[in-house]
Amino acid sequence: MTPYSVTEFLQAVNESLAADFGMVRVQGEISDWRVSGEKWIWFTLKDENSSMSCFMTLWQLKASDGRRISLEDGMEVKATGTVAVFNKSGKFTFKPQYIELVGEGTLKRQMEMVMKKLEQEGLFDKARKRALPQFPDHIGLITSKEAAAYSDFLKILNARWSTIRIDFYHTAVQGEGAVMDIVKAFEYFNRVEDKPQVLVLTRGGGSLEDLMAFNTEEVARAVYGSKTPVICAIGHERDINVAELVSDVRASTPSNAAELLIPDKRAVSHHLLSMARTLENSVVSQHTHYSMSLETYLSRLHRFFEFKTNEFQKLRQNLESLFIAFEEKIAYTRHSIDEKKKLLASLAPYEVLKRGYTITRDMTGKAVTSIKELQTSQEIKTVFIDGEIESKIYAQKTKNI
Amino acid sequence: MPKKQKTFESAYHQLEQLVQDFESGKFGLDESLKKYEEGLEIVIDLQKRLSQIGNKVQEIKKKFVGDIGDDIQ
Repeated sequence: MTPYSVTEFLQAVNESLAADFGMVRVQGEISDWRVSGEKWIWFTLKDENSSMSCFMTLWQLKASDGRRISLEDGMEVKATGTVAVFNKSGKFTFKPQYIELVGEGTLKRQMEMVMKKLEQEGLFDKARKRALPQFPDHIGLITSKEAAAYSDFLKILNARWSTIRIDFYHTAVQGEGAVMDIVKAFEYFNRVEDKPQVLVLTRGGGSLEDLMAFNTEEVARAVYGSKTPVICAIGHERDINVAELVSDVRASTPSNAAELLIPDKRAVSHHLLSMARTLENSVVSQHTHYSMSLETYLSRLHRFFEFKTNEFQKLRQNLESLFIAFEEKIAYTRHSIDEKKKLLASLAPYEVLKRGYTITRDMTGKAVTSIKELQTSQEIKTVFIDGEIESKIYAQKTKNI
Repeated sequence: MPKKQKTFESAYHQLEQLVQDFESGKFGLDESLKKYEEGLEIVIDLQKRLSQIGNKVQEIKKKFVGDIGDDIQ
């Protein structure tokens, strides 16, 4: 038997392996997971009894639909690939081309790994979350038209509001192709010129496997990179998933998404009426306030003038009294003066008598001012300063003037 | 060219601002009557819009999107 060289032998073994096995699918648990130089992955695939060495490159680490997955020790997987013996080491190595995750536990781990990675990158940061418009009139809807989520969402939306334009982009929401569909949907909305104001990404409840598309890095990055704010409602209320954590707003169900998106028009109508009432009350109370102020000022003015008028009246009355009193005084004084004048007049003759003149009176006492008033033998009185005599006339003589 | 109709949102916010201004006593008597009228007009317009019926759903045609998507890939 001609001996093979080692190289020849290994080559023959590899040919045999390729011929007999080609592409095989092997399920096992991952252990000794090791990435070197950010390019090469080494791990061991094992079951309870056996283990085998595995080797692949980092970019090969994907699922059958092309999406990237993250793996770690303990995960149960189905790996599809070829098997060979390495020349240098003679080591039997399995080379997976793609990997499928097996079991809920694995899926959950996958999800947690993606979550951790994206959280560290800051994709979940609250600060970057954008506010939704209060009254959107143009929205984008990303979901499956067969999904209950689609009709649930639209039903609630229609009940709450009208005149909204809805751009609906149909995608698969589970299984192969879902991830690509959803990513394309976000690319479309980023690209289109007449952009909606909000995007709604939604699907109903399901198993973790059903929901897996929404736990992938690809979908998460598509949501994060959306130029339009995104509201996400995936699965049931208690389900957390990566897409929801990245989105701007998280809703618990498709119906809840419609509620968060737009107010109820009845409530808004009520509020409009109450605002109108507030305005009216404001105007009325302002008017009343001015009205009352005006009245107060008027009555104050009125009282002021009344007061002044009364004062004036009083003043006038006083003046009148004074005037009357003054007139009386004048009258009295005049009278008094008259009296005094009379007295003076009656006293004046005595000055004359002092000088030796006399006053002649007839027997009736009347003063005589002319001899014509007298006759011879008439009896007369003659008043001197210090008394009077009585005499009889015996002759008259007229004075030549 | 300005939009021929204000959006619901901007009209609504304008109304809210009016209410706030009133409550802070911003307007004198003359102005307040004018502003009140303005506010009422907004309420009437918005109520009219609310009573309209019907949202419009338009599905995006995939093949149009697909072509462009492939180019970008």
